[in-house]
Amino acid sequence: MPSDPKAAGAADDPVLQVRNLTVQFGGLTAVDGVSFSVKAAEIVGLIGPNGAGKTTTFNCISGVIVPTAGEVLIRGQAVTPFTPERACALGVLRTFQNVRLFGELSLRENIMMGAYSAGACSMISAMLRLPRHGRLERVAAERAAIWMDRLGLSDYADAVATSLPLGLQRVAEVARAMAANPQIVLLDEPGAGLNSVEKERLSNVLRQIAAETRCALLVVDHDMGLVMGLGERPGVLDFGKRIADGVPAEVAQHRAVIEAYLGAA
Amino acid sequence: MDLVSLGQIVVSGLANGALYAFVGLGFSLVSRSTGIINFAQGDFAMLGAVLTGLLVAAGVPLVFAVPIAVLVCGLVGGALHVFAIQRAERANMAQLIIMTIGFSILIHGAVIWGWGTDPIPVPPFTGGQPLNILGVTVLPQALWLIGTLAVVTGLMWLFFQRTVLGLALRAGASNPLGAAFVGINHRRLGAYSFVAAGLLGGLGGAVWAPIAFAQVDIGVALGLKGFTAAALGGFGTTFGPIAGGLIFGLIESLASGLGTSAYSEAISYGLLLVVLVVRPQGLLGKAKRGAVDDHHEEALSAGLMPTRIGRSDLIRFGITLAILLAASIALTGAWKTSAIFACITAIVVIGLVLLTGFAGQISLGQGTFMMVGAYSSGYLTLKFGWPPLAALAVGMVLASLLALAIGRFIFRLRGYYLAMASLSLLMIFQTLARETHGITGGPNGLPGIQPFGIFGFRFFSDDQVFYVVTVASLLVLLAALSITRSRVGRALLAIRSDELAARACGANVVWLKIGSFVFAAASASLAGSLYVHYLGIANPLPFGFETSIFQIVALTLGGFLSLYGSYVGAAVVLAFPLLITAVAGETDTQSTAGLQLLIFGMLLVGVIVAQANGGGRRISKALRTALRLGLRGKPVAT
Repeated sequence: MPSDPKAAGAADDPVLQVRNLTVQFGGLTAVDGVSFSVKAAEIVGLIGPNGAGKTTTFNCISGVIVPTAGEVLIRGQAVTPFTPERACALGVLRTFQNVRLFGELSLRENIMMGAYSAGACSMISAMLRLPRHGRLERVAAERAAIWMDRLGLSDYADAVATSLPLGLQRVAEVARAMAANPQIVLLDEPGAGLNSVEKERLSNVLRQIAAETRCALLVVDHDMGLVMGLGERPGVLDFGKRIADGVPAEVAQHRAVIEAYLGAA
Repeated sequence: MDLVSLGQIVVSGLANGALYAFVGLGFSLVSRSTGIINFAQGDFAMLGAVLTGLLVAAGVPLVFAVPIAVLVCGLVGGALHVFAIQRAERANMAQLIIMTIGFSILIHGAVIWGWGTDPIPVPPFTGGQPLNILGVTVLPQALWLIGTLAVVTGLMWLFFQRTVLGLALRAGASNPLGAAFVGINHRRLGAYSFVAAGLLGGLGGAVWAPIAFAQVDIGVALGLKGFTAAALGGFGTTFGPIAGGLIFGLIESLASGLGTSAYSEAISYGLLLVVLVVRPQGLLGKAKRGAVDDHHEEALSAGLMPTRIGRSDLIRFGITLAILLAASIALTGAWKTSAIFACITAIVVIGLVLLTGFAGQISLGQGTFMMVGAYSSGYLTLKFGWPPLAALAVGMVLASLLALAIGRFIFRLRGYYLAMASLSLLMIFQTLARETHGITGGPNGLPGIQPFGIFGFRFFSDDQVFYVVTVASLLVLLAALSITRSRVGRALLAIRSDELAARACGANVVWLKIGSFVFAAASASLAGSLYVHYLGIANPLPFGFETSIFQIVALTLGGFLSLYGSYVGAAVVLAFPLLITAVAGETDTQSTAGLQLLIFGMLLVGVIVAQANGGGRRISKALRTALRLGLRGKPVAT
């Protein structure tokens, strides 16, 4: 067992550690004793066929599902209780398979919402307009401006976020997550519904983000292409068990991976 | 206590419990197939009882009167679904629940308007002579009621286990989308469940009526007690409400049997509160696993909402100020009095905009917090000679603490438990205010409260009081504006459109809801204080259930997300009695009250249907465009 959580923060320490994660729904085991870790600036893909438990693993890490057993550590700190708020507070941000931007907010405000975790601000500070509120709003506005600029969204800042084309909405979700200055971003099927040009554009954006911010990315996709293009190190989950771990070319050759995707050779 | 009186308590408890079970069954059926808490459930039972009574009085034999009344209730239930709920499919859950409050006052108002509030005697089915079983007196009608419940339970079991439609209903309840894929129409299921709820409620009411009297007033209490039955037994279960109803009936009967009849109501409602807090899934229900409900519904967006105070807020605030100034000059007499009450109501409604519009929670018990303010002001100024401002502040603090305590428990749960919890809290506070004579003065209240004043200056005349309430309401409006136009408001809007995504951004849903509730409570307390300073007396009457309903009506009319609309809604609600009298001349006050409820009910339903179809937005967009045209003299693309 890798020990001392106190050593957190060192550059080489894993950002995310998943240990023996098991999720059972009734009698069905969706995820069975999965363990893996992700380091800073790393892009790791979780690939595998439908039903392999990718999204479930994901939901555990982001605090949406409480696992039956096992633990999730962010920089050595356990995600407990398993709530989205706790995961966010530890620096886990996520995007959604079916893009979920806020329909009553503009694109800019959606991304500012991403910076909500930058600091606690009570309703009273907001009501009395205490300096704290102004400071946090400035931080949020700055981060929104930075990320809209970086990801080429500035032209749409005041549009209703949900009215944008899907490709832009996916990029906007990434921007919203990045505005939180996250440790790790979980991307749930980022390529779904995108055409090949948009996919290409998105993987460039993601590579750039990982390299520049040192933020780790964990990508779930059953589209092997996107992850293979992105990842230095995809992991493959099959029927709830992690079966392969390695650089893309190796993984693609892995016997169990081929079986999982194509059936026994 | 001897065995015979215990037997007596059990028998009367089971009889009442059977009625609660009927109502509770309707609650759980509707909630399972549509997700809606149907507030009109108790009114179905009331309608069943009243119709039976009226039919018998008109000479229809009982054998026909009961089935006719029950069928009518079923038809009413179905009609409400087909003509209202199905037409508001894009409304969010809070709106749909408020719509059923509209159904409730619609039915209630129609009965008062058409018949009145007098109790109607209904003859027992078989002989009025009580039976004597082992020394325990049993009304034959109680046996009829319990027997009917047993038969209905059996039939329901057969229906759900053995018929295709029953299976379909169960499938639709457990997974609407999946059921839709195999050809089960969830609309039709919803309509069936409303018909069934109407039939069950009507049947319970009709068979129960001979035990007491058929009376319009029982609707609300029956609704709450039926809800308690469903909550006790578990909303997710088919037969839980039956057990829940019987258990609740027994507890209620024991409480009044043990000589605490003055407080037995309070005890019953206290039980509901405890259940909601301790075991929200009910005694028989299973707790839902998983930290978050990932269900994502595509709710109707209200369009882009401002999250910063901008020019549009400056303009609107200015317009509000100008209208209030104009009103202070133009209005006199009864209209001025109504304007004062409208401002006080607006204070409460502004709080509700935050709570219901922004935080998506329904409170039917703002009267509780108004009472906290009212009695704090009354008691502290009368008994201790405190200055009104200090007493008012204490009331607001107490109300906030009360809301905090309740919110901490209630908002741990997803769902709309606050509606019922706040209503039962209101019932408890009403009872307490009537019974604790030492502090509250009982039903007579605390008379002789001085007009509001600051620094030794008292505001005596209506003109002066109007300025006080105007300034108070504008302060509350400003506070609400700075909350909603801030990062907190942004978070609330984010939760409104997508709770899970908002939580994933770090929005603490529970605390944001609690904060909104506390704000609404403090506003209501302020309103209550101003109210008693104006009237000069603090008593329970003006802060009852009806007041809460009128506040909900004002909220709906003004727009759930519109702080400025609070004034409009409050003005319409307060001007309404004056308008009816002005239009219809001097009429019978009771039927006027009934007509008012009827119209308010139709307004609630109509406005929500219109909103769900984008009506409100279309109108406000048209107004905005017109305004811009007027200001700039040229068309603007929106």
